[in-house]
Order: sequence, then C-alpha cells, then structure tokens
Amino acid sequence: MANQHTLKLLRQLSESPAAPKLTATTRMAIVVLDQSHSPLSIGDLCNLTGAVPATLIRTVRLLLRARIVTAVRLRGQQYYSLAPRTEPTVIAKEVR
Amino acid sequence: MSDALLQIYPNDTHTIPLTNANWSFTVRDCRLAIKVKLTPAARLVFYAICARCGYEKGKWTCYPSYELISHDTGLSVRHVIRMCNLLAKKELIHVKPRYDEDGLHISNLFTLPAERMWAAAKETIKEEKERAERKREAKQAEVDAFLKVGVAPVSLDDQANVVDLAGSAATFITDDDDIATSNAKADAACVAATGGDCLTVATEAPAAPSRLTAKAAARLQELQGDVRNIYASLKRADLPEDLTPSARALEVLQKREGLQEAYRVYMFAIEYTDPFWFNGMRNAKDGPVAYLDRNFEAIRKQADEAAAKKSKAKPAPTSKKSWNQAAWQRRYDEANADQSAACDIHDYAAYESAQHRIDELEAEKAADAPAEEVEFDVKGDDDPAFQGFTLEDLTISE
Repeated sequence: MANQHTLKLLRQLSESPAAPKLTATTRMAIVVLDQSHSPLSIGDLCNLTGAVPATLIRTVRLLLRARIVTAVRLRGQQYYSLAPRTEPTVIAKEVR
Repeated sequence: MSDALLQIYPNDTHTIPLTNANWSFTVRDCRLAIKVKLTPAARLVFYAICARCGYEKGKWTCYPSYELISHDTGLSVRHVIRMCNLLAKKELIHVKPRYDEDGLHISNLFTLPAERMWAAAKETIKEEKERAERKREAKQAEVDAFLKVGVAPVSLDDQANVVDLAGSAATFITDDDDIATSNAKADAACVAATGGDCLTVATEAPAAPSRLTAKAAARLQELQGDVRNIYASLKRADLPEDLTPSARALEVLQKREGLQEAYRVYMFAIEYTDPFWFNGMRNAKDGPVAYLDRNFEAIRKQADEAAAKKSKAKPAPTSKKSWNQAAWQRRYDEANADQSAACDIHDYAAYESAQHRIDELEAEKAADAPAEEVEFDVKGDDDPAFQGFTLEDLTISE
C-alpha cells in the first residue's frame, strides 16, 4: 500500500505552476517537515534532507518568505515547521 | 541526527514491520538513507520509491516507470535514472528490469532491502537510547554535585571559571577543567581558606563559603579599584580594609542610574565648581559612595543646570571660507582679457559670456572677500601746504 499522503504531496508539488522553481532540496525539506511531528532545526533538516547547511538556509529563507514555514525560537535556537494552513496547492501558489 | 530522529520518532518504537502488508513507508522509516550519504535528489527518489512499495511475496517491491517517478518528484527522467543507478550502487534499492510478452522493456522492479532498513532502524534506536541515557546520567551527576557541595555546579556550557574568594588561597579554574575537576579545585581552595572540612561545613550550615564566577570576581575587583580611586581623588586617608560594601553600593548605584550617568554626576561632584559636594564626600563618615548615593538626585539636578547653562553660553563660531585674492584676480584678469578679445573680433556671445563671468567674480568677491581696510589719504603733516598751520589759525575771527 503506497503512502498516499507523501505521494499526494509530491505529486501536487510537481504538478503545480511553481514546479520549475522548486528544487529537490525544497521538495525534500517540505516532505520532511510535513512528516515530522515537531519543529526541526537547521541541523536536523540537514541530516534528514542531505543538503548542506548553506543551501538549506537559503531554502528555508525562501519558504519562510513564502509563509509556507513558520519558525519558533527555543533556548536560543530556531526551529521550523510547516505552517498549519499549508496545503500543497497553497505551497505551489505562494512559492510562485 | 539524534535530536532530529528523537523528534521524528518520539516513542522510539517505530520500526519497520517486515511482514505487514498494510504497512506504508514514510520518511521516518528510511533511517538507512540517513546513514548513507546521499544528495537531496537521491533521497527524494528513494522516498518516492519507498512510498510506492508494497509487500508482496515476502518482499517490498514496486515497479513504477522512470516517467512516473519523474512526475512524482519533479525531476527530469534522466536525473531520475542517474539517481536510481546511484541508489542501486549504494545498495539501497535492487533494480530488476521487467519485460512484456514480446520481450520489450516496460519498467523496472524495485526491491527494497527491508532487512537492512530494519537493522539500521534498530541500530539508530539503540544509539538514540544510549545517548539519551548518557544525557540523563550527566544531568543526575550535576544534581548530585549540587546536593553534595551545596552550591550550584559549574556549567561547562557557560565555561565559567570558578574562584573561591573565602580566603587568600584563591584557586582559578580554567575553561578546560570538567565539572568534577572544577568542583575538586574549588573544594580544595575552600578547605585551605577555612582550615577545616569544607564539605562538612557546607552540608551542615546552609551558608556555604561564597564562590563567585570569574566574571563576577573581576567585576568586584574593578569596583574595588573604583572605590580606591574615589578615596584617592578626595584625598581621604581612611581607606577601609574591606572595600566590598562600598563596591556593592557603587554597583547598585551604577545599575540603578546607569554607568555613564553615575560617572557624570560623580565627576560634577568632585571636579566642578561647587566645593560643597566635594567637601561633603570628603567628610562623610559612612564613606563617599554612600554620601554620593544619598545626595545623587540633588547633585544631578545641579549638574543638569550647569550643563544647560554651558550649552546656551556661546555657539561655536562658524569658520569662514578662506579668501584667495590672487586666484580671484587671476580669474578676473582672464575674464577681462576674454571680453577684450571678444570685443576685437565682434563675438557678441563670447562677450556676454565673459561679462557674465566678470559679474559672477565680482559677486563672489562681495560675498566672500574680507572687508578691505580703507586707507584715507589724509593730507596732514606731510603736505607742505599745511605746514605751519596750528589750531589758532583755524579759529574764526569775528
């Protein structure tokens, strides 16, 4: 049985008009954040997505600017999670 | 990685059921991909394949086409093929081509190494548990040290140096020392200072010898130096042996009023024109700092008034642009010569331009040049026509 949620998310990301702007790192970060139960730091995202910190920081900034990702500050460190309202269609629209 | 995994797997019980046909792979199941160094695109392809896999005939398999994976991930087909080859090379997937009845290639059968993935998951969970246990033990050790000595243990995160000010045998603890070493050094210094069993004293009496961080000790020494300077500037000879109370009072004053404000008012009190405050600080029995603290508002009021009076007194004179007479004269002569030349050749435009320049130069001179000292040609003593005249000669005779 396929994981319908991940597949749906990936499919909608790739079918959206913003698809050319979404890099593999961006998609990977969105998938990881979507499946995470709690906010993740940059280091966690680096480990889970396999991207280098510089690339990931740029990606997270892009997602923050598009309000797809929200940041929380805990003990002097930033943690990121998907915004509650975020749906794949919204992601595509905002990134565009 | 551990923190991320701990956040992703809060219960630490999430493992891949090898024979559950209803199971679906997600990112959290792919710990093997986390252990192997992969690019984001390769991971994305791996997750896309995992998401499509199902349990069939004892294996986790799926057979999506490259085009479908490309559509899922948003990568190009060639990129997907490259990533699949990379994953196969890293033994994260097993690729077997599928053919139709005519022997034509239709798609690939991807098989996941479920056994390896399960082993990686178990290993990761074990590592996470060990790490959490180590963290818990370190925390417990800190609590034990606190209960034993009676003072808060030194945190390595803060890299705090500890100094025991109870006696002269102060021991500085370096940044490289760990918690146990730093506490042992502090205890030794405490014993040397008290001459007895420090730990017994600390556990029996709640008032343990004071231990300050190096930062606080340095601050205290700095404040004591300030108090010494105050006594020296007031020429007071009764410098007390223990400067700590005065230093504390000075610190309270500085924190309350701000360092710059406190310094400004203090400088006004001892250096400015009013000797009243200087004498008051000099003769105060409870010390100059206490006197300054007591009369701080009044001194500040006077200092503000003096500052306001000083600012209103005299605006700074504006510097005037220096006048260069030679340069002006040169430009004037050039303009004049141009005008003459234009007049000779009957060039009306050049004549007007030169005239304009001359007007500008004259206006510039009127604005910037210093007032010329007018020399009156007084014909007096040197003029022979006036020789021999006296005041009596000018009197009008009736």
